[in-house]
Amino acid sequence: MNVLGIAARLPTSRLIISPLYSPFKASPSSHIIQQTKSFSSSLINQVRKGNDKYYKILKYVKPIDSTVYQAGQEIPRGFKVPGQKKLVPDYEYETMYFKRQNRGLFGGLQRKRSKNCSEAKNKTLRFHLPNVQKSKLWSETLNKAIQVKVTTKVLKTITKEGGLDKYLLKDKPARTKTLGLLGWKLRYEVLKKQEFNQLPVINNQQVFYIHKDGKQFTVGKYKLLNELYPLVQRDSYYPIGPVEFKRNHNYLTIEEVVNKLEEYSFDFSKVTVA
Amino acid sequence: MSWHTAGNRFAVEVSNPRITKTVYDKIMRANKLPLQGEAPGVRIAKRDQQSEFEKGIVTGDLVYVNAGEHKGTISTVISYTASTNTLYLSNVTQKSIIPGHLKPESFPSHLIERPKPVPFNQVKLAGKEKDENGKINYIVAEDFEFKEKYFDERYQRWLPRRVAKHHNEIEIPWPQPELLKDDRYSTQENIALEKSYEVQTIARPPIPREALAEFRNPYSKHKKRVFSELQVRRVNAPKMPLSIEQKIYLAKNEGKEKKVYQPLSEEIKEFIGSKMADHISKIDNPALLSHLDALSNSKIPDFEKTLANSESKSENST
Repeated sequence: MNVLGIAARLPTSRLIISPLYSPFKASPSSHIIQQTKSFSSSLINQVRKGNDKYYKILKYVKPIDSTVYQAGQEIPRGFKVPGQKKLVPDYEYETMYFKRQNRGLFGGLQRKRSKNCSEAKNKTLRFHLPNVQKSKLWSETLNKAIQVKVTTKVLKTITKEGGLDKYLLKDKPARTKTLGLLGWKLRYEVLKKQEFNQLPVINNQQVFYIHKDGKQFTVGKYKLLNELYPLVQRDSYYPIGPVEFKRNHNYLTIEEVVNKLEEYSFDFSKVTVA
Repeated sequence: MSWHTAGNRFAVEVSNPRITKTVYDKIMRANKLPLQGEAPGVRIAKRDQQSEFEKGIVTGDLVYVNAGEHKGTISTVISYTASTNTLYLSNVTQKSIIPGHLKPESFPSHLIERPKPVPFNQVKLAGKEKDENGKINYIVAEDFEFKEKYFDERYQRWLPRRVAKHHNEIEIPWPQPELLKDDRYSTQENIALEKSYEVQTIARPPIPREALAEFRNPYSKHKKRVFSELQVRRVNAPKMPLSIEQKIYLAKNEGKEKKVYQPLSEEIKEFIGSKMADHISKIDNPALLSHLDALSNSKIPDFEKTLANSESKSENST
């Protein structure tokens, strides 16, 4: 049979198979999109074909928008502003597959697939779920027991690491990938608590915040806002109600509130300790 | 006679001034004496039916009956029925029995003379003419035809001139239309005009400028929006605090300078080249040689990137 004849009969698109050929070429529009929104697309590129242990986590990962937006910046087209503020930092490795691994400490374990084989060699598909147990794990930093669903493998790892906190705080790429969403949230909680624990106690008074210039505050944000309210009201021609004040000031961080109070030359002696 | 008289209290009467126009029309239609039954001949399909103006003989026209029982009579047209292509004439009547509920009270008998349908083809258009002595003569047109159109003020529409065939100088004008009488539901012309007429001009916009904001959606998705202070705080997620290990690492590397790649000097290039030449000269296997040759031609993107990076950094530093 004539080989060339077959080649001639094939559609042209099948003949142009070369490493140089790719249907996706860089266009100016794609450049613009990159400027406005930069997703963490590099994660998908990390997926290797070979012996990547966490290829399943990376494969089914949900891309997140890591752009830091500024006030006054134009809202991108089709962008949905969330109704509530985010309480936890974005987790890059939140999987969209076998979602129960986001609600417990699974350590990257997922559903596996295999076949049942009968005596007559009939094969039927079946699955294996990870060995998940409900248990209470003691966190030394938080000083409380946390009830979580944990795989036995993770339980073993926790004992090996020497506690839940050490398991959560280990700063290796493999650990961040296998933590899961719940682990990520716990990690944030623990780190926040650690930051708080480092703050000193002076004259039996807990310091909540240390400003850049060294002022040590013994009160929180909301008590400082109460101090700010009469100053703002005095500054305004029209009366400002408490609701309106809350609406415009509650979202500020404690640092910003202190900066505002400094503008009014507020006497910090009541709220700070030396 | 029925013994049940209670219903009479709720019976609708025409004399009642409070009844609506539709109810009034319904009563009048029910009490109207229906026209004589089916005319001789076949019924005409709706698509073939023509209006009286298309036919050329309209109500109020004078016609001459040229065939049938009433041959030779001259009469005026009461109405034209398109579905049977017949005319009701004022003179051509027939005695017929009418049902009791339709019989007018003033009539002594159920036998009433009523107009009789006359086929259209048994009728010819006629007209009156006064001669010199003042005597009225009737002229019957054998046939007629339409000429150019004009606007008839009486009918308020465009109508063709009607002339006798082969005698186009003889025009048979359209009859005087029956004037509509005002009834209790009609509105006077001046009032109707006064209430419904409004001056429209391009100079004055239909919506006042102050009210435009009410019609436009300030929250439209097609409008450009900017992040407010609150929205920014909702969109931007908090940052993960650094762990103690990370802080220690950063503190250690604080004073250290970042590694800067410099392009290779000529001396080092020569050294590497000589080493490579020595190594290649020792190779005897032609297959390995060809493989190395192919390798040297292939482009490694990471290597190129590093080279470009080092070149750009050296430019910045100088």
